[in-house]
Amino acid sequence: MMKIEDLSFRYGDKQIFSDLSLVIPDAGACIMGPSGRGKTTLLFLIGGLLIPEKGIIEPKPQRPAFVFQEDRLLPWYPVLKNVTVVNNNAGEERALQILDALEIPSDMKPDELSGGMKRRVALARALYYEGDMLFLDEPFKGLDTRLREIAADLILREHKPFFITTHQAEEAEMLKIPVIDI
Amino acid sequence: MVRDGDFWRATGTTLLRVLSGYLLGIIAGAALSLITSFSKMADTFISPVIRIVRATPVASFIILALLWMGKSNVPVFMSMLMVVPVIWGNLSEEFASTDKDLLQMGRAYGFTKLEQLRHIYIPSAVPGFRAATLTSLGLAWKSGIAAEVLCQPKYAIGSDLYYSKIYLETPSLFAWTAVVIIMSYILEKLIRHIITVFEGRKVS
Repeated sequence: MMKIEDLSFRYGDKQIFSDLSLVIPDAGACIMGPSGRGKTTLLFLIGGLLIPEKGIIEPKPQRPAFVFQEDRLLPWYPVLKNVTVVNNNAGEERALQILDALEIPSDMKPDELSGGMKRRVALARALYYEGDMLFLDEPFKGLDTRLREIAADLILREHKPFFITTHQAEEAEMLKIPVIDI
Repeated sequence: MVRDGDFWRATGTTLLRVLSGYLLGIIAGAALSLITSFSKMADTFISPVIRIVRATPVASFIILALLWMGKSNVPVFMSMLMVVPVIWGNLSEEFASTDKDLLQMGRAYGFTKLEQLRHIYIPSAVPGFRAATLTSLGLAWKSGIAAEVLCQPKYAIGSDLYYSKIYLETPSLFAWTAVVIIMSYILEKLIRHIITVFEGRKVS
């Protein structure tokens, strides 16, 4: 179980969380809520990318793998390099397998990709990283049903705790994880 | 003039001096920008000095440099001195404006400082660096020849320009000026070509 106790966080004057306490099952959770409520912030706090004002999050991930909402691909590298750049030990073969499963050509540059393709490259990078927890910020945005199912299957096959933010309840059902409403 | 061996010796020597200063300036400017961008303490000490160099008239430096070094080294030093602030300024600005989201991505994926530099900072700075190398080439060329005019080293376009002036040889003055312009044009084309080839290799 992951425990979040008395978590508070603010961006400047804007208080995002105040004494938030949660218990999250080992498998992870789907963070849902309206826009601007702090889903991404909570994801970043759990993943250790942001430091809370106060409160405890335990256990902390040792090697978190992120899919960011804005993809954050390196525009000067082709797809394959964008994936392999995060892990020097996993080998190109594995990267090609993940990219192949997600149906993305490995030699294209990010500016040649559609929004959905960029999303899949960001997911491929997170899977290739071999982290101990996955943090996925709206990972299915721009994907059709078939590609969502392929991506969900790959995520589930990792057998790692994962956290996902979404606006759609069916994504939580597809990934078989509990929902946290914030 | 072109049939004269001294013409080619003067042109070749000037070219060598300016290119040496230019390359040294690029290396020094890039190194200084790395140091000042990633060390606040170094920035405190080095940045004001570079700003002073940028604001000081070329002629003052040429005369000062003449006191410290041999006259054939002054054009090299002056070319370098004019290139350093341009490369330093552009690269420092590029480093400072590197996409914060990409840097956060790098941190999230455990990039070391060297990996952040290699995969994020340096590729982000390439457009600014390219612009700075082209801008500073003209400066290196002009300041190198200005230094030659004031120092009159043996075999130099600047020295020949100076002698044309004192002997009132107007056609020779125009001819040397034309040589300067043509050489500057050829050099810029050459540097553009080298940058394009280098970038093509980096991408593939």
